[in-house]
Amino acid sequence: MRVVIADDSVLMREGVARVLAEAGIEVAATVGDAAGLRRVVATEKPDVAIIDVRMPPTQTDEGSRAAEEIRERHPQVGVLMLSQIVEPHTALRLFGERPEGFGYLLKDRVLEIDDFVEAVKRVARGGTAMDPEVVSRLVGKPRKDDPVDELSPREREVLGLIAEGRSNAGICAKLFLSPKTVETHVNSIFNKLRLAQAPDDHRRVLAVLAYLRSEQ
Amino acid sequence: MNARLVRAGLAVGGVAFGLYGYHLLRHDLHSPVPNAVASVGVAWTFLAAGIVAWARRPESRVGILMTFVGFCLLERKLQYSHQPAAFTFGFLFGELGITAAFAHAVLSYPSGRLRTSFERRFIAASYAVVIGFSLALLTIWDHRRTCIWNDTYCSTPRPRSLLAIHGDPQLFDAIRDTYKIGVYGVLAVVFIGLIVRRVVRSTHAGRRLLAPLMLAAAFAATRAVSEAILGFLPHSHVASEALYWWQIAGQVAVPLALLAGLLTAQLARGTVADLVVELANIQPGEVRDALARALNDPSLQVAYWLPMRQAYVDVAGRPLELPEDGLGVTRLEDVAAIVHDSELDPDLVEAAGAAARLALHNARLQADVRAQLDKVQESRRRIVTAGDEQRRKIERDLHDGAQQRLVALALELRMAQRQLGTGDAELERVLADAVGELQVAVEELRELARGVHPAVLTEEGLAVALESLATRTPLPVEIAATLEGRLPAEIEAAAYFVACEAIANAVKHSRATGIRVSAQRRNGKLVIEIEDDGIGGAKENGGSGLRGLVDRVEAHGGTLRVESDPGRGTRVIGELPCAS
Repeated sequence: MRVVIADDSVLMREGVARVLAEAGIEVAATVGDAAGLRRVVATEKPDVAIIDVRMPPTQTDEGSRAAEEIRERHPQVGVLMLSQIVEPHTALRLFGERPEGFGYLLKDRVLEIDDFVEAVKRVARGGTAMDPEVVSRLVGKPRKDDPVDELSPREREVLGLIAEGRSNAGICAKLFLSPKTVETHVNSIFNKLRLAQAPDDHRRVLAVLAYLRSEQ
Repeated sequence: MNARLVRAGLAVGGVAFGLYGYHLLRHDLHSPVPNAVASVGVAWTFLAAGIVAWARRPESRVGILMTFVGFCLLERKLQYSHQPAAFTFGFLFGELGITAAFAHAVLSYPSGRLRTSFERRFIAASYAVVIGFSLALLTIWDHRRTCIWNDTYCSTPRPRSLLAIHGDPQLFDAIRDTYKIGVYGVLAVVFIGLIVRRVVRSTHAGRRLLAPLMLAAAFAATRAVSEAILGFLPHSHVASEALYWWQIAGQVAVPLALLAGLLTAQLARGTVADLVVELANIQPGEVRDALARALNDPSLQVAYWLPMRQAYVDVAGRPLELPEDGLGVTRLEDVAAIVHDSELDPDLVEAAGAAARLALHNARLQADVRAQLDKVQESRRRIVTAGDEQRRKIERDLHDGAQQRLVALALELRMAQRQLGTGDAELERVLADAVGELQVAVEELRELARGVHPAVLTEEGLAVALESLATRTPLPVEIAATLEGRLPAEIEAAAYFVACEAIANAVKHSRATGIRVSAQRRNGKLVIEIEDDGIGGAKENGGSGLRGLVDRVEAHGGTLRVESDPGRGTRVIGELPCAS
């Protein structure tokens, strides 16, 4: 697996590169701005591009715009955005209708090295990595007459992990549960939220996020 | 009393002079009766109109000038005398009454003072040219051969010129023709031009006042045609006779029109008295309208003088430049300047200004306060905007600087921790704790930056920032934000912080079960409303952060109010002007 990293902080991009290298992931290139990123994505054809949202010259959304462009032009390249802050609205907008091969994480998540490497691999496989902060704010958003309130604490935990983009296997590993138990929780959650079971992980994420973003 | 005696004396003298002039016209010039009567009649009309105008409008010098023209016209008759002294004197000044003095009286209407330096130079030149030519003609007058006026006059012995040096009838004729072209051709055209300029530059109201001048221009034109053109062309007796009577009509009409104009302005003075009454009960903002009505000049403007700033402002305190030219400006010492149609009688404007002095003074104070208020408001807005800008910068610096470094440092430690493997449990625990502490620090820094100025507000705008706020609030918050596009950053920030504070208060004090936030544009304003279903009874000044927000909102020219009756929930309504 090959990745490229774009971050204007040298410390940060070298740190991330080391973390990934030690996990056996090939870092094909590290760059400091959006123009460099566009270039190496085109030449290196990586499995994942890890992109800082704020980059020179404007330090606003250079990274986001480069990410959108890459997803448009190189659909086979997974995109993992790293940001100093995460906002549910921004996250949902970036995901759009296409959560495949996309991730949006706080920069600090790099510190949980195993989870981070797992997220990079998931995005490389065409999966999803939604930041837990975004998910917890969506799940925890107070609503009137909220079916989420009917979920047991364990079920809420599982709902969050589904929303982060994890597969059942991933949830098993994270919560140290058996596949069967996880499956039972998932079925129960979908029943309580009155959602139809999704045929694959991508659509499962979409259905859950769509449910969580709605007001009622 | 003195002036009255002078005028009575001039009237009596003028009548006597006129009768003597009639005698000269009839017996020395052999003029027909109608012409002699008309000639003296014109002079008397000027004299009478002048004396009346002088008596009724003593402050306008037009009356005196018209009286002077009348006497010039009477003096002109002396040149028909066969007495050398009377002839010389009469000839020397005879032309003034129909040229320079006439133009002087007309152009100085209505105040009696010439208005521009060009006009002053023109009138001075006219006097000099007319007298200079007359003087020149008198030095070459040959009483034996020179013959002017009519044949009957020339058939009797002609008077000698007391100033004659060397008689030369040919040169006399040549100079006289030059004079006709110079005075009636050139000076008359300039005179007409000056009047046309005044008419063109004047407003509708001013043009009414200019009727006497237009009449005078028409008279000058007729005279110029008859003297400068017909004098050199063969023409019928009928044509010159007709022109003669037109001139007489014009010469009678001009003084009467000038008098009528001056007396109408006198009537307008009556409205100044009305103005005093009206001013007793009007608002400072209406002083201009009252003056415009009284002076019948809808274009009138009042510029208030602010001594502190050494500048003129309008009634709302906005800076104002006095016009350079074209419009009349009447300055009322230390209070204001009235900018008006230049044809308005300055004395009348001054009288109206004096009547309105107290009201103008009040309006000036108000304008002064408004101007200062504007400045304060402006600086208040700048301070808040600069504060917002600083906050945005701090927020960016925290994220891109300290926070970034802390994460990178934590990552170093984490890598070190992993490289140690399970070798040294104690060291590994210390490193794990350090990473944990750094994570907390990063999290706190993020919260701090968000409190300073949320990045989502800068990057995504008010509506999204409000949604983000809702997801952080432990109560259900319904957001209804119908905003298309972005608003000015300082307006968005003000609205956002109002919502923040109102929601925080609701969470802390209201015991509400839900909050509703709406933000929308209405009539060029951003209206933000935060409503809860709690216990109410909140106070705008009750020590809450709302007081500071009132300042922030008002700095942008907005308003913030709180409706919070006990038991009926709390509603905070902020309105911020935003150009749409």
